[in-house]
Amino acid sequence: MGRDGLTQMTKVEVVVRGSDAVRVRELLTGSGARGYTSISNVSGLGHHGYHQGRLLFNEEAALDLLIAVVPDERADALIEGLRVLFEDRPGVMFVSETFVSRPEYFG
Amino acid sequence: MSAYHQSSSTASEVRLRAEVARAADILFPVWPIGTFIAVNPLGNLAQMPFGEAIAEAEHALGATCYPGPELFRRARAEGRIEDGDLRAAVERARSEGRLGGAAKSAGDPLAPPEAGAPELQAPSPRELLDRRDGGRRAAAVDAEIAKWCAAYLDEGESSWSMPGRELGFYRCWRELAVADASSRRLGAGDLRAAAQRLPDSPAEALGVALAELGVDDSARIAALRRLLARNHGWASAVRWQVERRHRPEHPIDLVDYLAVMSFYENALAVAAEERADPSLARPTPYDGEEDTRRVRLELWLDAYEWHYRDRLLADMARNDANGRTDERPRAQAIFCIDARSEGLRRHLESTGNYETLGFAGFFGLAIRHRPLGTAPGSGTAQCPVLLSPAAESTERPLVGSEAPAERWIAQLRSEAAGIEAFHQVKNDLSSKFALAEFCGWAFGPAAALRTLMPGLSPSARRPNLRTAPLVDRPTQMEAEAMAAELEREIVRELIRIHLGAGRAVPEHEIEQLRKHAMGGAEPPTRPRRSSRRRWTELLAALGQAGLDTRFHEDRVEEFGALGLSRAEQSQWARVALTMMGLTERFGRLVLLCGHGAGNVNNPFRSSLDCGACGGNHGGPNARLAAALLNSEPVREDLAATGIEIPTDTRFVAGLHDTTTDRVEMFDPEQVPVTHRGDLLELERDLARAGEGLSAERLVRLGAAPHGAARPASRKRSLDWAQIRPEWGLARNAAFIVGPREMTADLDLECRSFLHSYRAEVDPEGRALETILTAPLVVAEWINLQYYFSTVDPERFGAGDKTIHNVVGRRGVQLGAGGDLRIGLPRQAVFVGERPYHEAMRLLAVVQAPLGQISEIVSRNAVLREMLGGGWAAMCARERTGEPWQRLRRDLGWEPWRPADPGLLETQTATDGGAQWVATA
Repeated sequence: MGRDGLTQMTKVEVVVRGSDAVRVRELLTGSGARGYTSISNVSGLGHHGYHQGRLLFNEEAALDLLIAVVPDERADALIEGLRVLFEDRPGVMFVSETFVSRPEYFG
Repeated sequence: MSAYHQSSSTASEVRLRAEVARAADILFPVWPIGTFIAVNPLGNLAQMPFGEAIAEAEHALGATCYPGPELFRRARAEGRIEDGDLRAAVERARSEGRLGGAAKSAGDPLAPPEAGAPELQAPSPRELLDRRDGGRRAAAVDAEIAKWCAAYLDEGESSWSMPGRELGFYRCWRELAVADASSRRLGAGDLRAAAQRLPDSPAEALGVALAELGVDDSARIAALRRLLARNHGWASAVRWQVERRHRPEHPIDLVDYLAVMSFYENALAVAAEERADPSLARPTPYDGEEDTRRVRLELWLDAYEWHYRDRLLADMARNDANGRTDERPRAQAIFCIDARSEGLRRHLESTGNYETLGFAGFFGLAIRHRPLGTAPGSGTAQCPVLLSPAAESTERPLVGSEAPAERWIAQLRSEAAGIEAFHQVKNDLSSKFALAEFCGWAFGPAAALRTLMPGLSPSARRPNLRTAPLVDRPTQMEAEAMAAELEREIVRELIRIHLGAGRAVPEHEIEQLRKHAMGGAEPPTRPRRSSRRRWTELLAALGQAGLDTRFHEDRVEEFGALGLSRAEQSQWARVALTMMGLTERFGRLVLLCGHGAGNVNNPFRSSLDCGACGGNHGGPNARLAAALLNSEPVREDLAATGIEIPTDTRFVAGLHDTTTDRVEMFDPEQVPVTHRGDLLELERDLARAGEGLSAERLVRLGAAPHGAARPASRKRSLDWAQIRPEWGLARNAAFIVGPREMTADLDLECRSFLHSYRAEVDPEGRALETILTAPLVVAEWINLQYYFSTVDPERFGAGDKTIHNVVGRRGVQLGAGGDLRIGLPRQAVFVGERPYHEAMRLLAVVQAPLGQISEIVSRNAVLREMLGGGWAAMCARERTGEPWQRLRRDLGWEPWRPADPGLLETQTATDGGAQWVATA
């Protein structure tokens, strides 16, 4: 399937502690992102060892995955903000180009 | 759409937001006082080792984070710290590499620490100016910020609310600041014109202010921290609003807050021509340098803690001779893990063949509970703040109780209207002084009675309604019917308002009016005795009431979320019983006992309620849990998983009032006749246990009674001048996970959280992982709240209760203004000038396979940081009779060796020192 008619944008995915997710969400909205997707209780192996997924009685100790799509011209500001945030706490981000069919939803 | 919007999108502004987020790590959210939640005030630094986090907090906040040298010297003199404890502390630190290069410069560890203030980060311009000329600018700006925060964050206390709050804090403040001449008193001239020139974006305003103050980029986080450290309490309240209140009606974040604060800071600097003052421009961030003062304090704290811990572990080791009997207990009683439950459990067990267990007081039911008569969407979150409510619970009147239930609901409405009217008058400036004249005669006798004879004063109570918790999730049709009934109730209310309370309208016409409001039917004919005007008003009000299809669908969805599905019920029951190790030997009667604190005129009342229930009473959870475990379908599902509950086992619910030591039984009339005798016996023995516990507690409160203890406790609970109704969780020190045999017959002095657990019914360790990642975390927060409120009552405590003023339903201020106080009041942890609470970090004691514990710790960062970072300690053993192993900071195990090897040979008092009794 071709990409004709789609608009190129930047996708930023962030894996961060549940307790730090609010700071990332603040940066996303503060940088002008119109929305984001949040997936709680993700698990996996990372630099700080294995991370347990869903805990029965604690929603804050697990990791969250946040995904935002922003116009390219807003991406650098957001990426810079996330880099500053992650200077002193665990968290990773993945930046990639993506294509959307309804750019007005993201810009 | 809200008028509030965040417009910042430039790279520099986003960067600034990230820097603010990092600077704010010195803050932890502070919950509104109505649901006081005990937290670690340094919880956002918990990824650092304890010592480093403390150094950071001392530096940024100017806080004291260790018990003072004076306390340690006294503890040494009283034998609460011995030379052996200190030598053992040094050995632990040395073997874990915690002494480093500071070991030599720290000198002789047996010498007491010296007094000395921590080094505070460089001051802000207004602080510098004050130092130079003795002014009070810093306090004046703090007062100004407090004024705006109190007005903006008001949760309904004031009847005249701040206008424009929907714009967000910064823009709302700016709208008012341009007209606020009172800022002149700050000594920076008329600031109205300067406020007028401020940009629309708070991030831009903050960035500009920092630049004008000459703060260079490398120093911004440190400078922001210094600003946040002023009015630390209000900033923490903002932090709560940001993190915990989703889609707030009145938005605020720390960029808003700092933009306002930096405006005043900058204005003062400009006025004093201190624009380029070097201190704020280049504040010294904490450089991590080892501090011999802190090394010494850490060693002494460690010795102080292990002196207690050694005795606890030795007592438990000697207690191993107590085996479990196979005899069926007369009854089982399950209490919250709260340390106060230990006393009641101990006394109850002494009255007969009772088995008691401990489980988180929300009983694993993360619910939002709405008592009878409260509106949909209201209710309390009955679960730890680590969780969001997953279901809504309510109660329904049983057959025969419908009429009194309706009367009760009507009374509630009438009282709510009266209270609202009273508060409106009370808060109205013009009528405030006249209120006592007009209403004083009505309140005077009751006030006098309550003051002079607290034991006799009446307490308003709900009538004895027979209700049951709504257990099963309604079907779609049931939810539709409930929504329709709610809508009819709204129609009835409008009829009462517009046609008068005495106007009887037939039910079929009410239904017709409802359908008319929903847009699907003609209204009924106007009743002959109603005026045309009033009828027209009623129809218009119906049209404006929002009773449309959307409203109906939303209510159907809400009602459809009530209760639990059968699968959820059975899953919960299996998990809960497995977690507490109660999978066999059920008694004829099993009590599920929540807890709450009955006391009056106490803004901190919820701090004495159940932390596991979000600072609420645990009764609703206990009632729902009992109903679920009595459910036949649930028992069938449990049997299929191997948990057989005998047919003659009946679960009942109760509430332990920790201030009066009474246990109130819920729904005793619903207990079958066959079990009434068992219930009467249990109630009799709980009363005896409560009397024993009250006598013990009153001694600790310095109020040993001459006669019966429980009446004295009750009198204390009703005394509205009482500043210390109970000790709460003061002196908490340990969290014990394992079977009750580990601690049975030991007097733990209400200092230990007790969580029941049997590793043999949890082969994969899932229940253990839940216990360690949730109840232990909550207990650690409670422990650190008490710790920090004790070591620095000014910075981390709420101060003296006698001068508290509740502000905005958020918290308290001392006197008429100032910072919002966080933490516990002084009377919760001190007796006079002397701490009653022993400031120690929590010791977790676990009986479970060590390998399993290690695996759980290694895959959960919250535990790695807590135990590896020294925020709490852990000892464990796999089986009864085996020696304790200590978890080192590197998360390896080593045998526990008490500083005094003789402890294992002879019985000692658990605390190793004199019983501390309140005398002031």
